[in-house]
Amino acid sequence: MRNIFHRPFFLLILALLIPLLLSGCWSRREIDKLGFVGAVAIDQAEDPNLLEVTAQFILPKALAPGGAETTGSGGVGSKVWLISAQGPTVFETLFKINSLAPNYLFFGHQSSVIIGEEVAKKGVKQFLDSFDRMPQLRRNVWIVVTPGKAKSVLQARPKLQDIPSLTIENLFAHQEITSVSYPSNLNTFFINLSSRSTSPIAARLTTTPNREATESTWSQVTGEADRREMKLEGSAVFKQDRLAGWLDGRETRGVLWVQNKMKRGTITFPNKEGNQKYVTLEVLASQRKMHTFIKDGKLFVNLRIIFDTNLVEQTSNADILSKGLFNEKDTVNAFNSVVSSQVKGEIDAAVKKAQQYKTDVFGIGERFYIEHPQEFKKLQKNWPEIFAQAEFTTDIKVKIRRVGLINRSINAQKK
Amino acid sequence: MERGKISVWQAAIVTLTHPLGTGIFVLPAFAINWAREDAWLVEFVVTIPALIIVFSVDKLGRMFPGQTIVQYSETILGKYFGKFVGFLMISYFFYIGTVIIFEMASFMASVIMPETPIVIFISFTGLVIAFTVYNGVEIIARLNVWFFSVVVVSLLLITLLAMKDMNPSFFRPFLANGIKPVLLGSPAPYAWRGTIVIMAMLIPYVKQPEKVRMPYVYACLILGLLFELNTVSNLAVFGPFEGGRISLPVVDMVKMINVADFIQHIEALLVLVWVGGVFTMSTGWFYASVLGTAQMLRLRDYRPLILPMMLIYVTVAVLNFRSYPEFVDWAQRPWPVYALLHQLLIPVFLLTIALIRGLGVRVKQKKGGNQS
Repeated sequence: MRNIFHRPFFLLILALLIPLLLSGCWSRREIDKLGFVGAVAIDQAEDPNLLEVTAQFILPKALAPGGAETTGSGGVGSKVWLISAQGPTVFETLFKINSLAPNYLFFGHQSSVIIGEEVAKKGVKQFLDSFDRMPQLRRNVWIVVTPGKAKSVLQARPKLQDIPSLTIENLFAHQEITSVSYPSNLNTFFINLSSRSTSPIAARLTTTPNREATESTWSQVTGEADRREMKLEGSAVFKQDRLAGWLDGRETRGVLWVQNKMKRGTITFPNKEGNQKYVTLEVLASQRKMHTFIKDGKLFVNLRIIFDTNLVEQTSNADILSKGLFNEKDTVNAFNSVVSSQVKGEIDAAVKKAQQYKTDVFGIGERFYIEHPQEFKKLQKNWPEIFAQAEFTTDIKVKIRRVGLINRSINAQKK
Repeated sequence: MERGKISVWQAAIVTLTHPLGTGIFVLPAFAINWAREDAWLVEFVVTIPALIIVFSVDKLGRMFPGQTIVQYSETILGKYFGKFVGFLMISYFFYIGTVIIFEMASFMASVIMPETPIVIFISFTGLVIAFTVYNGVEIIARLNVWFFSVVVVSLLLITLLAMKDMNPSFFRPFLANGIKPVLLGSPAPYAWRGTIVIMAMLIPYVKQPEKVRMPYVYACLILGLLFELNTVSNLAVFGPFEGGRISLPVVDMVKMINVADFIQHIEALLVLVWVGGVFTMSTGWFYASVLGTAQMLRLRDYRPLILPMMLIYVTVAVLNFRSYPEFVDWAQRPWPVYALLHQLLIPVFLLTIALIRGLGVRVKQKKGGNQS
């Protein structure tokens, strides 16, 4: 049989048909028709059944070099555009925003979801579903909870980075260094939310007015006065999907230690030797081992944390080298116990708060399930109560690896 | 009929890529949804029926050299019942092919181009498939080899890049709820894995059909390994509950990849895997059904059947499911039963009857096998 593709007539038809496909596809969107949403803030509207959703657009023109408009007095910074609408569901409301915005809402570059305190207390499941479903969104979008109104966070104009969504993104990049906040993205939040016993935890974001800017008269003229700086510190604890309470930075670090998510951070404590001044260590890498068991209905949690540190600052006049800190066993142990009591304090503070809220933010339940699956199934129902009674024992080993580029501190030079 | 010849390894790769293209997208969710922490065991369980398929199809291929399953079912079961069984196999190949195009279209529509009607995706893919099948088995084999390399490289790359988000504690505890959840999670993975039955249509076109067995076994095991890698990485990233809740975990996993703010937003890789995979899969199924029909009707050439059957193919693909959730339900409940009949029971049944009736060529196998 002759090949149909060798017939000239057929080839002609084909050649005429194929260019039809070149016109592109249905869902084509040109970049100048898109409105890039950087962050979405969710608040409770006055009507208890409605949500107030605020989208923060990034203005592409302002990002181009030299394209930024001169800062107007008051209002929101000129590099972003905020717009709010109210509606029963997030998607519905975002579509309402679409009828206010000339550009099509595009969520591919969204970096965070900001949840207001009031709506978080009513439960976050009611609106997170939309973010879960949206094909444009990624599961590493950050979730932050803010005391007060979420919208007000987006209204802040931090000095260094005018765009709130980028500020949040960069603050989360620093989370690894400071470890006073919790790296809560959509994925970790959902994993905890759907787990057997773990309570979700999300970072807390607050804004503070920049006092230096407010006080100077020059800045009041130029509109710098209403700039507020963002602060990512502490975390919000959820019971099921409802906001139960807050942890401060120190307590949040306790959670990070227990969850083995501690990456870097500093520990400062008064040195017992010398004149009671301070020593600062920088945590480099930590390892955590956890063991759980139940005895007479009481849960015991054994933690073992080993971490490496660098000595980065010393203001006490103790001569650390000559005291044999690095070679004599007794001195090493004494020093270590001071360091570990600091870490212990952080963990204990976190445990105390979590037990008070009856929320297993550490994932102790999941660990217990791994170690004793059959027992866990019996206890799963009243796990919050069991967790609230749990006893934690921590065993901490610290290793000081390096001391910087000097052997003896200037503070220890003269007695 | 079909004058092309393919090598043994090409045939093995064709069977291997058949379940792969869509399997790596939808299977982990099914396995994790039922088996939770033990989802990684599912592929091990599924290997057992898969190997039964491999050995019975290979044995039948040796006993009836130069014949496909449609032809030897007639030899084994007689004219009428044999044709009926042949028809069942053809309809199965045909139907699975349409389902796969539907999957492709709904993936494209839900992830990339939400407004394009799926008819467009389906009919254009159909046209290309028709053109490919027109060119015969050699072209299909080469396409599959090309696609296989793309998929394996992408899959390894994706797993490597997503390593940062993985949490090994999601694999524990081991069998806390017994073996039952694992078995409940295995029907859909079995149905995917079992599609290696397509080898029954390829053996006559292999250059050395007597050497098919070991490559076929390897294909089955490598396939299991790739699915295993995929399930394990998805479980490690999303955990036992989220992993079962997301419809296409690999897509979400790839979207999360962000290495040093530099390697990120690499979903395009997935589209390549998906479109390439679905296209080769659907081509193979359509080829098998067209070829089988021609053999059942004793035609001299299968090519005249391509266009009329493609019209039905596209129509079935469009009308088959009303929505994606309907497909998800179909893949987990009716399909495994359907697949059990056509992939496992029919070959085993044919083999049993052939052995009882003493049909076919019996060549004593030399120990040690392939001497060159």
